[in-house]
Amino acid sequence: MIINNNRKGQVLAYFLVLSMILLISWAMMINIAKLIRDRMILQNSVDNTTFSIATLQARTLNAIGATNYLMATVLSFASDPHTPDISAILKKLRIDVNIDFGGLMYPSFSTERIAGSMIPGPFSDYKCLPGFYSEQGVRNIKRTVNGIQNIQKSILSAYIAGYADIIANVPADDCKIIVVPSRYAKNWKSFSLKSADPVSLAEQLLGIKKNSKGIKYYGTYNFCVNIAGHRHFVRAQKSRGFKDDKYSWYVQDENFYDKKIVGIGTKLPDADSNRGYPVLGKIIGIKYPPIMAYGSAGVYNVDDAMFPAEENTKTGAELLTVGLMSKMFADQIIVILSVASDIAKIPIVGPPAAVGFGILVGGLYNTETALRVKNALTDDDTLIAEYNRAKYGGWDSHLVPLN
Amino acid sequence: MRLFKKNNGQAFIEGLIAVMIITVFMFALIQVCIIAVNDTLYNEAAFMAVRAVSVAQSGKIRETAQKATDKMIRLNGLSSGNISDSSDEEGSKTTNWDGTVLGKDIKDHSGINLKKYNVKIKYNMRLMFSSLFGSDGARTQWARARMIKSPDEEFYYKAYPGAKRFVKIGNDNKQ
Repeated sequence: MIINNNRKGQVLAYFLVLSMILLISWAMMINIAKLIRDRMILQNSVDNTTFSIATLQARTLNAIGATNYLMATVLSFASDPHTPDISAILKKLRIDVNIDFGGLMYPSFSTERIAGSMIPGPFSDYKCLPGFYSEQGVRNIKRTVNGIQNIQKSILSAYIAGYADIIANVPADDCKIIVVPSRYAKNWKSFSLKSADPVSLAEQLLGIKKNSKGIKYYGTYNFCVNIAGHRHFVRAQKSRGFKDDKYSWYVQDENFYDKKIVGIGTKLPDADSNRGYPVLGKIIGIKYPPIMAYGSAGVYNVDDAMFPAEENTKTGAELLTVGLMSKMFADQIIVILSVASDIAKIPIVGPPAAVGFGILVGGLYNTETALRVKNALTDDDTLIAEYNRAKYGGWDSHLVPLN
Repeated sequence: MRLFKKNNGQAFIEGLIAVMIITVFMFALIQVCIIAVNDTLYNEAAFMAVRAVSVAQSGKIRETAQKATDKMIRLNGLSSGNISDSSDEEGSKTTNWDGTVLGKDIKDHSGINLKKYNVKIKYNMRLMFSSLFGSDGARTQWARARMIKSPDEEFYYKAYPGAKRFVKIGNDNKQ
């Protein structure tokens, strides 16, 4: 008995079954391809973001290093007026007296004593006026140093702003990425924000800190007499109108060496670009897993660190700076010789006393000045020496292994 | 003139022909899907391998490529048995070679030429029902990725001469 004589559509069932298989295959292909594509985009995003932040960090370190150097150069102009170091000789004779009633202009090269510049110009307080106290020059030095410090603050704030901008804009849509120094990458407990201030945060992330040795400023008291000719002596006097600086330049903090940063990226299943995916997901009952990617980049300098390892007060000096000071050195020698010639005019004891004075004071002045200049030019741990060793390498960035 | 007086089985023959065509067509499309999925997965493995190679020490390029490829292939649920030895030397499953970047000698800070690296993965796959056609159905495919090596490998683990090594991830701030 034929129940249904109509054979039309008998292939349809088979076609539908195979179509289902085909549909599922297509869905599988699209879903896997999208997942892999997302993973590759996330990986590229993490690499790009991490590398961008490393580059920003390298530029920031170069800028801070250069401004450090500028600050040290301005400070290296400063003088340290004092009496030729007779105390050292007296100490050898077991007489412990500290004599400093003023006298001559010495180069300072140390933030312990910063007085008006050894080089004529706006930073100088060496004024040929009798009994004239001047602190305009040292005030200008302080203003310049504080201006440079403000520029450094701006650079560090810009670093945090740039950091946030990169995190917000470089990753692809729906990719959430954080980038931290490797020391904080897995152990978040070790990270504690010292302050909400962006400058402090930048210092923490870059591993640098301010040199707490500070800068001590002094005005200059000019003793000028015109009796047998012009005789000009100076004395350092604590500045009246402004305070010392609590901090000077930037130095390495304990984590400075750790210049590797790690990027951690995630894309969550409920991301906007996953809407409608996986294909047939609701029917089959599957969801995309959250995907993660890691990347790391490093900041490096092939020559040296650029920042002093320890806090100290040594500015160091450039040869050019010392050259520009030569007129002041010559002036001081002339003062010594003039005084010697004044002494020589005293009857009988004058000539030998003048010779003794010339040898003693001239010797002390020349020795101490030469020693200060030599140390400033050759010490390895001065800021200027540190910068000069590292400046040609400069800070740069590259991708590094994750582990 | 009618050759056949009865039309019994006519629909069956029609159906059979239609089913055969549909079946071949469907499986061909499914085969394309499988090829595309494999291609995507192996290419991602090559991408991740060359990424690892770009930051590997110069003496460990081949080993790094090999390890990273094996790891990614396992992660992607593929069988490493499908990968052929694609190198004439050392029986490596991945090949890599270095070359200058855009044909130019570009040096890093250390004066070393920057190089580009390729990772090529040669893998085999078998086509469905190939034995029906007297073929082994083996199909050889290549996945490849290329990247320029990260410069100055001396500083992959430290920031400047004389510096301590970078903190390892999760090392709790200790060396």
